[in-house]
Amino acid sequence: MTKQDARKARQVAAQQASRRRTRTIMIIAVFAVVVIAAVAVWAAKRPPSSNTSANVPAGVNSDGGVPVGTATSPVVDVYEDFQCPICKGFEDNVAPTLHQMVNDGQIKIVYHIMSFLDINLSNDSSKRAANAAGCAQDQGMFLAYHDQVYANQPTTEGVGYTDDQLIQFAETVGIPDMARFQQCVANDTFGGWVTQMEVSSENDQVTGTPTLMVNGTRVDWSQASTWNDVLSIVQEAIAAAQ
Amino acid sequence: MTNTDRTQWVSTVVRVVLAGIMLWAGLAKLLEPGQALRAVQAYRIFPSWIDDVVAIGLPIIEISVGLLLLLGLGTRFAAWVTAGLMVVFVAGVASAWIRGLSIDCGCFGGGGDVPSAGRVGRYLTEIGRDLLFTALAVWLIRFPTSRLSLDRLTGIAVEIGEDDNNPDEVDETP
Repeated sequence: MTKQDARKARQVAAQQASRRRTRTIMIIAVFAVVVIAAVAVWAAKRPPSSNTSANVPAGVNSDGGVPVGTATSPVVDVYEDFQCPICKGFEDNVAPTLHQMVNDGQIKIVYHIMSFLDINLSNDSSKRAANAAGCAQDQGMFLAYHDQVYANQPTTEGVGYTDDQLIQFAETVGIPDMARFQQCVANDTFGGWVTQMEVSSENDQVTGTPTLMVNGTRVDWSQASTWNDVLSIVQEAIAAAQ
Repeated sequence: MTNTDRTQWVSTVVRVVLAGIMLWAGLAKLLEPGQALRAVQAYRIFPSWIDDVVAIGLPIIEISVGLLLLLGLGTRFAAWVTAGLMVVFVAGVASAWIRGLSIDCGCFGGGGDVPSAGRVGRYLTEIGRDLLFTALAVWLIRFPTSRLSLDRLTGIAVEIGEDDNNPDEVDETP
């Protein structure tokens, strides 16, 4: 190898190294831009100060959950979405027994109304129905309204609820001040509370609906094959907590 | 059109398709952070702080790799990352399946627990789809040099010999 050849080889090698360095820097730059953009998007999406400013219906817990019943324990947390078909199955087959236990002062139920199915179903019915349930709670009629919504859940998942239906449900259960209820539905008065409940449910590690917790412990009914099985599993969990 | 030309144009198409898939998957998660977190939690694999990290980190990696593929910048590197992600995704779905969970993979947004009806079909579809994407990534690992790419534009692909499919261009180096 002559001296010139050697010099040329060194030059080429240097050039290649420099180009590789440039590429590495460009790749890192792409990652950096994406990180910055992602942080900006998340900052913009953060729910507007979810703590104090949100309108909340009368009588709900600090995390947004709706307490039902006068007993203090055991507490049965129920996580539902108004568009979730299995939640309707739960309401039809398991909830009546739980409601009876509430009436007998044996348990307290806390309903957490989630609204994530809106994303899967590309509509906003879960959020609107949750807000309407908040409007009912504000007039002291959450449970009756909630049951009425499930009783009228569309058989095809994703059809959702119209505002007229949500108002019709209120008339059926006899909400005292219908004018106030209609305004509450039209103005999405408790939209912030609906978001708050979704966020707090996510913080409770709830990944699907319906989810049941007894005194904070998740009830696992994944092995159950019928609603009767689910009911017995839930009753056992409650008995163990009493 | 020579064989080399054809291979390079095929690589361009593969690159853009894979870029679209990664960008779609990443943006869907980025725009619904709560949903993404629920999707990760539903796998019940990690402690909750790692779930948080994955829910934040995964969309960033997917979008970055998607952009690299779209630009044709560091194509082989991006293809390796993509293939690696796909292997992890297949393992994740398979693990959920084996443990008897019924979840949506959350691959393109969505995710979380879902009704168990049709779960075998859903898991097979998800795994099959990821394997198809893996095949596309493997093509790019094998033939990273493509038309309309920054790698070619800057001459890097040629010089560092990444173009296994393109022996004639290697000769351009004096």
